[in-house]
Amino acid sequence: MRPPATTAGLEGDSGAQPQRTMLSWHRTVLAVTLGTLVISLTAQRQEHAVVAAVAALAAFVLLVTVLRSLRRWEPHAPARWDVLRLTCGAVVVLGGMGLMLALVNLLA
Amino acid sequence: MEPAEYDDERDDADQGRDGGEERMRRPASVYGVGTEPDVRFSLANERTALAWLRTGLTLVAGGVALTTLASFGEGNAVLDIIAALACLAGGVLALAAISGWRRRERALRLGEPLPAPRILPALVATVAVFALAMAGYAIYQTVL
Repeated sequence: MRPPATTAGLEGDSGAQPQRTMLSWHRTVLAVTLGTLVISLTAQRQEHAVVAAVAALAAFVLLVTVLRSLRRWEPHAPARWDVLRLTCGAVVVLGGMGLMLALVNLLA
Repeated sequence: MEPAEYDDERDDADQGRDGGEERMRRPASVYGVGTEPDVRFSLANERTALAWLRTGLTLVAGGVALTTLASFGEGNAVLDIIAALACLAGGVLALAAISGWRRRERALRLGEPLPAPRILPALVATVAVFALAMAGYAIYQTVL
């Protein structure tokens, strides 16, 4: 019978590092999703139906993609960089959409 | 700092999944240098980057909230300008988060001292300027 696989460097880890990191990922993904939905609602309120639809769709796609990627998460997994980059890109896009909404509101 | 060791069993499992070829860990600019650090340090670095991302997201959310507030009345151009700057700062902070993660991970792998957070003074200054601008705007509105 094979012993359970362990990650080197985490023996006797009283800080539960993988759990804390995964919880941090979940907080971040939840925050990005909620942020996207807030932008969607704001765009809808300002009567930008296309932006609202794109934001809502992006929130759904992002949530599914990141959660699927996080299923393969391990302390040494290659997928970590991809998810980090995707999440960073999502925040940058959200910033761009927020900037656009503010400018449109300003010029209206 | 003791370098972590790879687990042989997990490597076997990975090779089975990937058809015998070990996948290259990306980015190569980070994982192509130095030796594997204690995994706890890498995980802490990852959590730090995520915390920076959430900080950037908070700025974006604050900017969007200001835009919504500005749309309730007319002549709130100041709020819109502050909102636009907050969203811009949030995006920049997200990019800084990933850049900081790279720098720290490289330093960990090379056994160098951790680099100082370059973006922290800029963030403090930005939040202070936003707070002063909002306070000034609130006083201006009260006086009028």
